[in-house]
Amino acid sequence: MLDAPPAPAGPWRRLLRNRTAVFALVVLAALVALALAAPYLTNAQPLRISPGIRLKPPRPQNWFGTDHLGRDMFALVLFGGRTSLLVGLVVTSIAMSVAIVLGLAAGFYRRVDLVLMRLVDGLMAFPSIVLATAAAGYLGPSVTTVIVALSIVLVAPVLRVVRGQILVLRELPMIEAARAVGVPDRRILSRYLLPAIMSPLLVQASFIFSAAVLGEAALSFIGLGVGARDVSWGSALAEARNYIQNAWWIVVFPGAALVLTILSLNLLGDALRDSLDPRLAGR
Amino acid sequence: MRSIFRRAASLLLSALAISAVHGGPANAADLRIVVPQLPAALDPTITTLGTNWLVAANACEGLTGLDDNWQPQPMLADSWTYDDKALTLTFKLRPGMKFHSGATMTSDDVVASLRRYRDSAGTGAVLKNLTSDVTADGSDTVVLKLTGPTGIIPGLLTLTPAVIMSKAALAGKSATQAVDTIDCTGPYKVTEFQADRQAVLTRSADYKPRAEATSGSAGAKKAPADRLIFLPQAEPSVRRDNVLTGGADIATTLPFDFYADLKANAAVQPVVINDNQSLTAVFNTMKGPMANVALRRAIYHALEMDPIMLAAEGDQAFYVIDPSWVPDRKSVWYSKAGADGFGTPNKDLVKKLLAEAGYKGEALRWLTSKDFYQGHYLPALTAQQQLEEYGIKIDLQVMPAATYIQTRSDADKFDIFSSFLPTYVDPVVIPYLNATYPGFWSDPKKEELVKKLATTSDQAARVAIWADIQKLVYDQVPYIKFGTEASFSIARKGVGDLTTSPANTQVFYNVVPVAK
Amino acid sequence: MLRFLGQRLLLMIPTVVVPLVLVFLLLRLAPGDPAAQILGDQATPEQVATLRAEMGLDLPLPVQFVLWTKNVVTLKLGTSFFFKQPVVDLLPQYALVTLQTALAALFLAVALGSLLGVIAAINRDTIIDRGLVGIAVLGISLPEFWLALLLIFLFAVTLKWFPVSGYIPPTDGLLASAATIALPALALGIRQSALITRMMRSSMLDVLGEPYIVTARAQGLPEAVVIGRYAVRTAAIPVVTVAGLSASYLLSGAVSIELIFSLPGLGKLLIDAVARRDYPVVEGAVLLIALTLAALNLVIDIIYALLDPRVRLG
Repeated sequence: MLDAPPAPAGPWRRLLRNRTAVFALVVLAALVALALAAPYLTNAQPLRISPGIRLKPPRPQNWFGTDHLGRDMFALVLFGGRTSLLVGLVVTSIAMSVAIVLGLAAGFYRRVDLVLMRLVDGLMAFPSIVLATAAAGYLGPSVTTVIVALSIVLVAPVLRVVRGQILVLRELPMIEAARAVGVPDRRILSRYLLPAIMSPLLVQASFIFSAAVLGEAALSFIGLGVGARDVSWGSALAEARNYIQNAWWIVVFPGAALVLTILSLNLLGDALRDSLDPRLAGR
Repeated sequence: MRSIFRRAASLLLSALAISAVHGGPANAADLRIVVPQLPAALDPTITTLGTNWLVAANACEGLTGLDDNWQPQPMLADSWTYDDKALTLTFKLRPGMKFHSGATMTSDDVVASLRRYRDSAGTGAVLKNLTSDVTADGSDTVVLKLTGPTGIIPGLLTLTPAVIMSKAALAGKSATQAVDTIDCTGPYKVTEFQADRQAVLTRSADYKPRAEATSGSAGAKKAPADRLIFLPQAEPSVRRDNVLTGGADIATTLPFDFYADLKANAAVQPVVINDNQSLTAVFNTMKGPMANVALRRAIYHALEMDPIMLAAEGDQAFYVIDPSWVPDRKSVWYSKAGADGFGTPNKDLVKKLLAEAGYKGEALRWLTSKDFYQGHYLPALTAQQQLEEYGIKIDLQVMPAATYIQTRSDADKFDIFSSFLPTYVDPVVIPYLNATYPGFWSDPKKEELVKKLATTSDQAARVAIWADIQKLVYDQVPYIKFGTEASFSIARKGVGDLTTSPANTQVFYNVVPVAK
Repeated sequence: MLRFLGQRLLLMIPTVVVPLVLVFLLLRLAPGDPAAQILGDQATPEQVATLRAEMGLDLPLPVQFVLWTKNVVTLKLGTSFFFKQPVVDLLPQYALVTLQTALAALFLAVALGSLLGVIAAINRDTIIDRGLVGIAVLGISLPEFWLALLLIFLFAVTLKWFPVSGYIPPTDGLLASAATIALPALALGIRQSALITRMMRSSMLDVLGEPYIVTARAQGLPEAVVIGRYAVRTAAIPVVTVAGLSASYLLSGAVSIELIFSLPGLGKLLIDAVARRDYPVVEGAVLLIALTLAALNLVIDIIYALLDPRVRLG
């Protein structure tokens, strides 16, 4: 017993040993903290128009400068982060939940699979932009509209992953045996299959979160995302388009915040995938 | 050796790229004008949105033309006379005018065009109220039977929706159906049109300019450019950059934030037209909370106009806090009547009026759109912030142009909407005075004054009536004005004879392209 | 093979039908009216109603749907409310612009991505590899529209190498046309190339570990041949699939790119048409996009099936 080699490091240990993963986690934690603390970090209201201080470069009173309406960019970036992270969180939760339920069903029951996957294929061929535009027209551009549109669009890729995993796992001897013995389907799904797909799901969650943040920014940039009542990095960049030459700070700060968020989420997803999938260990 | 070769290759490549940029398909004497958007249909009679008349304003003509001093002058009509009782207005047409299709203009074409204009929405309704019929009398005379004495019709007919098109082109098209091609008499004809790409107008060889001196859309139309090419581009910075890189000759409707840099740039000339138009908000006086005059007055007295205009324009040099509903200070109609203390909020009065109105904090729906330009949307945003301090809640609904236009014609769907108002040839034509215009302001005193304004001939008396109308507006507050803004465009150095009068901002047929 | 094809074609149908039905419903349920926009803001409600009737918009929804289905099946795509031109005449010119940009972006992505991916794999775990992997992750995290803004500022406004916006068709000058496509393709392609870099790297690493590569080396074949003739070819197979998937990503990215650079392409047309409630154009564009993506997926399935003997064709 004393001669046995040490057990290989568990997945979480491996994650924490990965330096980029730690970096990503730290950055994300900082972003979340900043977003939550936003109302306390700045007195400025992000949407407050102050025509007297339009287009001021970064200075002591406005760390990130002001935009063409005199709005404080630092506040805009902080509160924009709240919107982005909120949208990301809600969309990820909804998309993952729906995808898990439907994916389990599709992977397990052939007939459900046939019908469902055709619908999903149809949905994936659907330009998400049109969905977002129509949603914005029907519900009015708002955080709710963006969440609805992005959730619908992002269910499909996760659904495919879940379904693919279930299709493979279903053939495992253990599952076949359970079915032969008469274990009810629901139990098989919840007790055996669901936990088995947790790891890849976690990886997917990180990428979906990143896609949701990017999607919300892109939609808001086009004008089909959150409305004028909400702060978003995307809509800040849309207005900034006209001021690249006069006021670089309007373009750089929201953009950098956006890139940082998406980058951290992507790095985290990569790190999760590397550490949670034993086959990839040592890659 | 290798590095020299590589450097030469990259230089050649970038030179080619630049020449490719500047070369393009434009010919030597073309005038390329970048505008925010092109109309979907070129027919000016079916739409009341002034920005949609741009192409027709350059390709078509009416019986009269507006000079730079807001006076109607002969154009397709050489002269006009009233009979003794002032109940008939006779126009003598200019002989030998040809449409772009080749047909010669006769009174039949004029009658068809004017009848259709009478049936159209907007200012056509004014003609309908003032006339009972339009008929031809011989091939070169057109007679309008008036319902009462009025002097405003020659001015009314300078408006672009009243242009003359050939009867053949109009055949079978009602006032709501766009004609397939605008077959007109102007110095340029439409040779290519794609609403989201370009409108190309080529000089018409058959055009015979009038003998009088050029002044806006009156007198001789010079047409020095071979072609006028209108290019749509929604982003103002891109419009500006198109001119800076030589891809276009004129860029219109720019924000004043660009002014300082462009003024210092030797390659372009800034064109500022002061007192161009008023930025406004119109209230729903028929239904909903804004039907209560005390609430309207409360909002008027709550607003501080200077920050609103500063947010919209960016620089104090380019707007005026001015209460006159006719923005052009040189116009005879300019007046400050009824607007004492304009622009400064009166806190106590607001509180009193809110109590009087019984306002309980319900949200007021304010419609606006970002598709037009900054002056439409930004005042609403700033006003919303100001009104919040009095507990007046504004539900600001920003929507695409299509939705905005439809929503504001339904009295159940809005309380306030953003708008703008240029100087008109005659204030009786101002759309807000029409009870069918969204806002639906109907007031017996207003109707009476407007009728008097339309039917009085003495200019001094009319100016006094207009002052009374404006006083009524400031008492009843069916709509409010934030201020007067200037317009800002740029042109490449070398472009000559640019328009500088607010009377003719859509006219480009007299502009001289850059000499090559 | 025929059965395989037949099956696939049959499966293509819902891929096309679902988006179309969704579009039909969503557009007509959303507020906003094309008739009102065409007429302008002072048209009376009666005039708007007349135009709506002329456009066939006041029929009950189920009736509209039946008529619409009949037209779609016979490819009678109608006339645009806004342009007054038949949709079938309108779409090709816009589609070509998007195609030009997307192909340029795809070419850039595949060429650059494959090259960098192979380099990274060969130099595995060195500073080159780590650098390239880092750049790739950064590239994936860059929003296309932000990148586009920066590219415009640098190359168009400051250096003046390329036009700020606008489109010149190839018929008006190949070089001029290329200049208008260059920055858009770059903005679109960088993200895709980052994705392909990762894909190629990972695929190459898989292949390089295969026994037959070890054998080839042991037999004394020069490294360049081992990599170039054997490894890359095999590694390219999964990348082909990714390149195909890139098509749909490119399309959604193309919308904001076309807006920023004022390219008269399908993405911009779609957005403008939805804003104007130009139903025939939206439906036609969605049909075209869905058909293209379905056809593309079909081609990829066939290629994959031909290349990978494990996939049964029966």
